[in-house]
Amino acid sequence: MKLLWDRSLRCVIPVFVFLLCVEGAQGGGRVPTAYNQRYQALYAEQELFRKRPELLPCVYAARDFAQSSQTAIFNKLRFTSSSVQTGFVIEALSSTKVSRTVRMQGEGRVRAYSFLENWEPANITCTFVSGNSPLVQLSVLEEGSPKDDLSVTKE
Amino acid sequence: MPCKQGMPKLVVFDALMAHRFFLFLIRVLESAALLVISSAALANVSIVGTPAASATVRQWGNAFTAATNIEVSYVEALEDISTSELFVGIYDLAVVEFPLTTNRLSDKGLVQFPLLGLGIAVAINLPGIPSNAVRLDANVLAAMYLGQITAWNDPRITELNPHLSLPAIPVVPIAQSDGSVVTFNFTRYLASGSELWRKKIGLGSGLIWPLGAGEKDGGAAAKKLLAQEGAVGFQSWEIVSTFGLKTVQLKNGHGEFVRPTPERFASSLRNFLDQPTTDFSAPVNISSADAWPIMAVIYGQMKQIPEDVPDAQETVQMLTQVLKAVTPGTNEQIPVAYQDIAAALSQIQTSKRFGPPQKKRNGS
Repeated sequence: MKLLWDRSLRCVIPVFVFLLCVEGAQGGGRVPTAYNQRYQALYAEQELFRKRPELLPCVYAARDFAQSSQTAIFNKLRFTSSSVQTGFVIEALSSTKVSRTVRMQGEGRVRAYSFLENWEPANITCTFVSGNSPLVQLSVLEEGSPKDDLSVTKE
Repeated sequence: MPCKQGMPKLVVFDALMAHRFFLFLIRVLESAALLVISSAALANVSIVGTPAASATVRQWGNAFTAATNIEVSYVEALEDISTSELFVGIYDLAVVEFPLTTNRLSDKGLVQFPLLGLGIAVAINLPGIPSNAVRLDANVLAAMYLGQITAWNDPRITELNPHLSLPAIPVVPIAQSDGSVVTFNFTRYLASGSELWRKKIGLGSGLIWPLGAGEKDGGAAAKKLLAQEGAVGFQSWEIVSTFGLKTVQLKNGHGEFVRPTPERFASSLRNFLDQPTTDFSAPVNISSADAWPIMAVIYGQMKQIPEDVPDAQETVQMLTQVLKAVTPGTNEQIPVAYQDIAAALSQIQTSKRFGPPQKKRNGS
């Protein structure tokens, strides 16, 4: 009986140690959980906008708006290097408040019932007025429309 | 009969194994308790944030560690990653260059407060011209960066500098596209003086400049500025001091030409912090006759309801101790006074609360 007990312990302990090692190796983010994937996406986005962090509030506001609004033309947005290059920011000072307008281009998934994902070039305009929620406008970027239009601001 | 003889042996054996098992269990529990106690003893201040503030904040951390024996670590990270990692509870304090709006702060349950002020100077490389002799304003600087002014003896520059004979050498605008608040606030200054800049180029920390891509960072731009005659650029005062760059007088919001000095930066920061500020308020063209026109502020962020209360307490203790001890205006980066952040720090719940506060019954 003692022999049996010793042998079983000799078997169980290495297995236990092996399982601990495997568990330890997996710890640290290798498990592809939804949280880790979102975190990686956040890092990728930050890397894209690392040279222009002032555009990030518009990125988040536009993405939230597309996902939450039932009337927006797009239900999902994605951003590319051209979003960074075309980003245009301007501020205006009224009597007491400062407002900031951010205009940029991205790609939007058209809100439609389809098996296909229709990604279209998108114009994104965010207006931030201090103390208020951001106002987001999304529209399809017309083919052949000059990119210089971004420099024209409505205030 | 062998069974009867074997049974007592089995019982003894089992008792021995049970004894060993209990000893093993006690050791495991001891180790776990030791781990918990040691992790509590190792509670420390973890800071994440911009590389621009790392030297100053690390210096604060070293002073705090020397005084209290509490470890302080500073990890450099991208702008929004700092806020996100603070939000999920990895760090106790985030140090950012671009402040969040009040809406976003309340969404994330964060408290934001100013930590450091920076002076931003315009530097030149003009042989034979002493530092702070040349006068420039936002409109002329914007015209230089737009490529409209190409020589230093241009009438628009000489009009501002009638007392100087400026050389007929080409203007070489040098800029950096580094994603920093220094660059962003410099473009804010240009936009304040030039309608063309405002409409065509706008504001940006990593712009594609009208005359080409910018340098990767302030250090690279400073080296280029030193090497190129006729160069003009913008730098934080820290880099100006490090590289010994020649600076210029700038026209401020009151129309006065002022020289860049650490004392003026400190008084300008004081003016900015004393004014009521809203989202997107920036220390550019501060309304004071003596103010330096281009400043920047670096902000700290903490969770209003921290994940780790002892660490948050120590972070508040560090900021309180350090900011009460420093003398404003003596450094290249100007720390704010403790009074400027006291109200924000008092919002942080540094005592553990379990669940919502209970309502009193029967009005008692």
